[in-house]
Amino acid sequence: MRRVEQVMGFPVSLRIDDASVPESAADAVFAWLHQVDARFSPFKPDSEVSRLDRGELSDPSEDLTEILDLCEHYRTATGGAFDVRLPGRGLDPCAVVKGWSVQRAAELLRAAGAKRFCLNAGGDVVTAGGPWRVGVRHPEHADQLCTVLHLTDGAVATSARYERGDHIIDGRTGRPATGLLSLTVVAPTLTEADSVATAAFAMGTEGVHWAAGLEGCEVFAVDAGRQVLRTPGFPTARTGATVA
Amino acid sequence: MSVAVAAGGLAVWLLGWGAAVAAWVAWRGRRGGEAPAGAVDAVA
Repeated sequence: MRRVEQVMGFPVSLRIDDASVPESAADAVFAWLHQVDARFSPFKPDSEVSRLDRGELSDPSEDLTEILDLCEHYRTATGGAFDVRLPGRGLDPCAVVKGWSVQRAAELLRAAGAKRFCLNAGGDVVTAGGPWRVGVRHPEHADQLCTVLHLTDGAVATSARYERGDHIIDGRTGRPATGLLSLTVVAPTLTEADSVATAAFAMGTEGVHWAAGLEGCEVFAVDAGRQVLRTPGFPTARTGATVA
Repeated sequence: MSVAVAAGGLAVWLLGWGAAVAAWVAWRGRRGGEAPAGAVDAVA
């Protein structure tokens, strides 16, 4: 079964290889992701995030509390480089919401009996029952990959400047993080992979070492000087690391 | 006569193994485990 939908402003593709899993499992995944968009988008005036930011929500939901706790965890862990409450900007927990919600979607699939699937939300990927081959986009050439990795059960996320320019701000300086061109994290869950990728990217080159020191995380990064940095355990399938 | 029987037996044995290997390759291919070089299932 294959399905693609546009959610949260990016394409979400789902492939399930278990013939016994009903279509309703995919329906539930996309319904959940649309619900997340409505509830937690900072771009929707009536979302929980927007209402909380305006001081109109005194009792945040359990889900929003969990998201904000994760944001605070990564803000503290990065010494303030990762911050969803930047001065002069509204509350924007998107960097955590995306990975958290797609991981939750993967858990819905598992609960429905899916054993082999690949869920790709705009480049943030959760897999089960591999082997799956996941390419890492070259930070400067959109039509090229700079490496390919093997994933069985796990998640991978990339933060980079190519999609939306210098959109990741180093909360310590208030300026765009420019020390890296891209940073990819492989972790057991997408909640962790996506949050760590963004947080480490905000830190710059020191973020590579920070992320590499986290248990269960493997890192592949290209710095501003086009040097490739990777942890020994990064599950590379083959290297086309011509980052030049 | 016994040589012909042995050769026939060997041929049948080889055919059996060939069929088994072909079935295994086809199964791996369906699972995506034998993706052609350069092909990926997703891009991060």
